[in-house]
Amino acid sequence: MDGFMPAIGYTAQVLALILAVYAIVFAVMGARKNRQDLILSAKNASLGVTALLTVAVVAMEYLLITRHYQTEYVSQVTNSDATLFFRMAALWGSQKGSLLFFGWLMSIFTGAILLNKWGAVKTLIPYVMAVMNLVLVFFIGLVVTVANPFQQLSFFPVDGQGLNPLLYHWGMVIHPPILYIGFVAFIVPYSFAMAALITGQRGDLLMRTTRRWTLVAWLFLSAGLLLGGRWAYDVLGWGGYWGWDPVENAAFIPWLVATPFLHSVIIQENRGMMKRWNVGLIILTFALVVEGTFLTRSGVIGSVHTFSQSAIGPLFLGFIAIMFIASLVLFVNRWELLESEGELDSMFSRESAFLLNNLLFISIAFTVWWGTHFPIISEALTGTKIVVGPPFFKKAVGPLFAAVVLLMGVTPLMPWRKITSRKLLRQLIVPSIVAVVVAIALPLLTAIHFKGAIMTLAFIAFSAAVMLMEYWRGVSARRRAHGENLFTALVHLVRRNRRRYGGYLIHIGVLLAALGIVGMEFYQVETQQNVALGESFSISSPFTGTFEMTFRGLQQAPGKPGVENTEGLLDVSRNGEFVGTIKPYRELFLRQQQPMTIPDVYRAGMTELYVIIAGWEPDGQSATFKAYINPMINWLWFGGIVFAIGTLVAAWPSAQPARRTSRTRIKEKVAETP
Amino acid sequence: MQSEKVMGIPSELVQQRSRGKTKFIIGGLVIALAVVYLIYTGVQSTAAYFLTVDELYAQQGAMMGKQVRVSGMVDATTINYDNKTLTLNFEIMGENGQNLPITFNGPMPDQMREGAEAIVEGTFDGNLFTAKTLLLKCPSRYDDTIEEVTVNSY
Repeated sequence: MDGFMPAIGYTAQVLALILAVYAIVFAVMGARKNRQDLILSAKNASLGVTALLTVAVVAMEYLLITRHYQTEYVSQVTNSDATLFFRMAALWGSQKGSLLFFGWLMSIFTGAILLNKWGAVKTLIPYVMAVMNLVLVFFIGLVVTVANPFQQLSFFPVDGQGLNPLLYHWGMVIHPPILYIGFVAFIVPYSFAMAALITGQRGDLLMRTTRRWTLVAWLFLSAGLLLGGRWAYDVLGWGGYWGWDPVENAAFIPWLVATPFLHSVIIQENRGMMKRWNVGLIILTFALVVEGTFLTRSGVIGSVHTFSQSAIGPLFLGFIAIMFIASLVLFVNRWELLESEGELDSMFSRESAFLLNNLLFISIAFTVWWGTHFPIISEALTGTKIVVGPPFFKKAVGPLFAAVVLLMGVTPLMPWRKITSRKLLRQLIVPSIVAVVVAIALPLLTAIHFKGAIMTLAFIAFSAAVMLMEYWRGVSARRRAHGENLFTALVHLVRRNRRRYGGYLIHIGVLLAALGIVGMEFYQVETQQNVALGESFSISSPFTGTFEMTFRGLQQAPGKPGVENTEGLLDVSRNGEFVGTIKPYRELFLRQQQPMTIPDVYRAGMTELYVIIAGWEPDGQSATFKAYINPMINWLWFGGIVFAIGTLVAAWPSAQPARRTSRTRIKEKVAETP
Repeated sequence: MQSEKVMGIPSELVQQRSRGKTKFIIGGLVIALAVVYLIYTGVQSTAAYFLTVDELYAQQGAMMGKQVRVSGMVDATTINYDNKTLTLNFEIMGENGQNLPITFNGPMPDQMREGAEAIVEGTFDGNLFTAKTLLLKCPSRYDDTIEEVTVNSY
């Protein structure tokens, strides 16, 4: 059986490739000749691709679980110490396996699309299928040719190398699949947009139909980014969550383009505007997804964590180029068709605010992209590689994000079409008062004195006030109209308009997370100190007062198999009062002789004291610690959870019959007004 | 389609449109300029040259005192870490056999060992490179070593 598994896996990959090509040819032929039998055949072939890739993944899992080290990939990513869980997760532990995994996830989306009932946009499905399989052909092609995970060694190693110990963390295990799902799911809106361009449809309908899929893709991408940050914070021990490394940016840039897309689609639905812009954004998002995958894998830009350099780099580049150019040609060909049906009436309207939101996000995306690619750009232009580090991103992007935060509060106050400035001013009174009070109170009552921090916090307060008012308005209207209690009114309100109130909940999550980011960016403090047994050192922050830590000694703690744990015991007192003991520790993975420094934290409300052990004398008489106070950091994680819940609320299929679109309602409303 | 555009809107508003459009274009330009300004000042204040060890030695004069980022393989035999002061001294290897001595103050990164690629940013005074930041490229995949094994086995 063992000997057959690699052959089964590889054969499944090859057959999947053939079927994917078949599906493209028959889908296009069927659509052109309008022959349902051909389309049906293509559909079956495409489902076959999903099934075959599933077989390949199962075969790979079997090899990983049974430790079939003769399979080169298995010997790279597992060893005899790895538990069942980590052996299974090793599927995406390295280049080749993760490419297979990536392709498989994509094929699952293809399958899901084909099994869904599409109603009005059914005519697009053959082309959607063709585009999806075209992308799949590229990924399956890679694992069949240059990156075959079923490659056999000519001998049978006694044991494998195993994953890098840094990856032995739940966050690292679930972070790649979640990010991958986010990445591959963008194939849905992309291929629908392409299909609409090919068939010459205007695409209003499909934007609405694929909206939920886009939202799901976006949710996974967001969650992947957050989990990556959480993993860095928990495991890497440098006291932060985001390092502006090219690989992180590679996942962030598509998010920065997908986010304005989700907003401007709403304008298209309501006003029939921004069609070109939306198609442009969706092409850009998917191109950036593939480019991000490429950046991570090619080693083009020096990063802290990249896959080893390999032959697939040029192939990826070629694929991106072809895909992008083909999309643009189609796009330009259909330019006239995507003409806007409405126009901006006023600067003070929701569509203008959305437009501004779009411009800001695209600016941020461009800035991050520019900074990430600066080494390549500068080398091409001047011959010397010039790099920019985290300070660049913070300086350039920080003010833009602050503007986004403010805009988040202004937009809901503006109705579609236009609002008179008097009306707008009246709407602005309450949130503005809240913001001004915050801006005055902060420097008086707290230690927050940086202008940037005060301004951003005032913006956050402004937008939070607007969000809460929006909820309050909705709830009290329901209470008056239906006599419901507070809770029932809230539930009904959200259920009646998930998209709107889910959206507001997402915004509240973002605002909470922003609190954590402001705290970390402006007020993180750190210290490092060597202390002898019984000696103390301290760290102070205006947020928490002074923490004093007393070194109580080293101890060996039981760890995972093959790992030696050394803990440093610290008694922590806060402003002179004992509050507990923390144990930052260092794991030593004996086989790889690889240490891993794990921080421990003391939570003081939303602020954390974060300590790592940096070294010790062999006799345990002294040790060196590095401590940080991370103000408001837990708001970031909590905000992330609120954000995810909000997205689920917005994306959840509603049980009610399809409501009239707001666009038709607006038309009716406009018609009613004298 | 034409009728939809003017639907429900007084005709004088329609006439104002071209004026409105200019406003939006100006607004867009202002944002674009602001972004260019932010990028420009950001690059000015934080850019660093990215060089190999050999390139650094070759352009030593020009790079003296400037923010430079250098990458190279860690020479494990030279790693010297003082637990108490958190002073880490080590060398990274150049292609021509000339090593670059580096000093860094901070906890020793977990990945610091033979075969790891270090990326340091800081200044070079001609003898010693004082690193402000030290990053190590995770050799997270062991593809390279495995390839050697494969070659040997044939």
